Amino acid sequence: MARLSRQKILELQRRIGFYPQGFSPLPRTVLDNVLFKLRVLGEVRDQAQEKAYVALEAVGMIREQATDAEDLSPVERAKLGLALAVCNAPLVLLLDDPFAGLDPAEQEELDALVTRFHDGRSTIVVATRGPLSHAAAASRTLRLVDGTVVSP
Amino acid sequence: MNEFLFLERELLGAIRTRSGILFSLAILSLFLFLAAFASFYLFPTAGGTQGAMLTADRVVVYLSPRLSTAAIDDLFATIQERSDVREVRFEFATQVTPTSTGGRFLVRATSAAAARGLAAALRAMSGVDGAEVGTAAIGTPGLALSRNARIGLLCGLLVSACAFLFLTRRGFRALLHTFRNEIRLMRLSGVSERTMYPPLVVLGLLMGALASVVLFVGLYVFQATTGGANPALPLTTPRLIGVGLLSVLLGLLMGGLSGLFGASYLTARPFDPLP
Repeated sequence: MARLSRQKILELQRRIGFYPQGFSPLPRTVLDNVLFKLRVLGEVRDQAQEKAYVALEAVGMIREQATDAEDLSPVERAKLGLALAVCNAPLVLLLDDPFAGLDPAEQEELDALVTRFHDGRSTIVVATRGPLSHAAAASRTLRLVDGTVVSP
Repeated sequence: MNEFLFLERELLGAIRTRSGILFSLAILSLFLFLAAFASFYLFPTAGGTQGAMLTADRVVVYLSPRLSTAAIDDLFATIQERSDVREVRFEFATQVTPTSTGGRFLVRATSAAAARGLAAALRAMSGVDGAEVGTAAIGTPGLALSRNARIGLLCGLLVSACAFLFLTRRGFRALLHTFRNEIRLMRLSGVSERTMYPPLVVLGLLMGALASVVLFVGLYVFQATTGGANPALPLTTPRLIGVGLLSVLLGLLMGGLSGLFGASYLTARPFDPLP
């Protein structure tokens, strides 16, 4: 990675869907959040709208498309973050602690959603501090303590 | 192009009260800067040919506007042949003050003592509206700029330029603060600086264009209300267009620079994708 040019890194970044820790949506509607990302990545309006609907449908947020993102519940916010990560069909999905701040039922709901995205074509990397029940569907699990891998 | 237009619209939509006030003040200071710049070219310097003070041996002779060219020629020859006259110069009506639309002769007497008698004799001549001797100003009062006025204008130019850059920087800072979540999302999504910079530079250019257009219109209004009726003010249409275009170019340059200043804020810590 260190030897890659800035342009190459940006190209790679565009092919990685990233869910940041403590994700906070833009202060606009759910649909506009997804549209914003797609438009700045160069999609024309119609294409962007089509992809945004597909992404929102995939996370089960199509009904909330006109809702202000700031009015969403924690699990809905997490789903929106997931929609933002997958809207441009990335090859790799990096999810940084998506279960934080969710109750067990909501964690299960989100876990099911993540598992559904893992269709065999794209790689999903999930970092979580919670119990490893989320790792049931994972093909590989690494356990880190103080930044050191303690079990493969 | 698609994402550029989209981002430009989003940026304009993100202008809130604080950034809006700062940008308005910035446009005002850029307008003042351009107005000061245009004044340097539009107004003559007092103390030059037009703004000269009469010395004791000189007489200025104001001619009647009803005089024909031939009559002025005859009068010129008559004055030039006088023994108490050393030199005569004619100035057209467009070169003199609005009150002396018939043109004037600038007459130099053989001595300061002879000037007063010469003035009296010239005043009595047919076709002469008046003659003045001595230290009266013969320039374009109220329109010419003295040296001190020019120094003041230069100071104003520097102050308004600094104020413009300061206000645009604060304005861009306020605007980008409002837009920080969007910037973070763009960085996370792999949007390059080349995509993020141009809308900010164009925003600066828009401010420059707005200030320039207001100045251009202002100059036209000034010409229509003052310059057109005032033959002493060298505000001809080609000159106006020349100075106006130069001001527009300068305004765009200043606006573009301010946009670059603003864009440089994108590298600031608040816009790090992972704070």
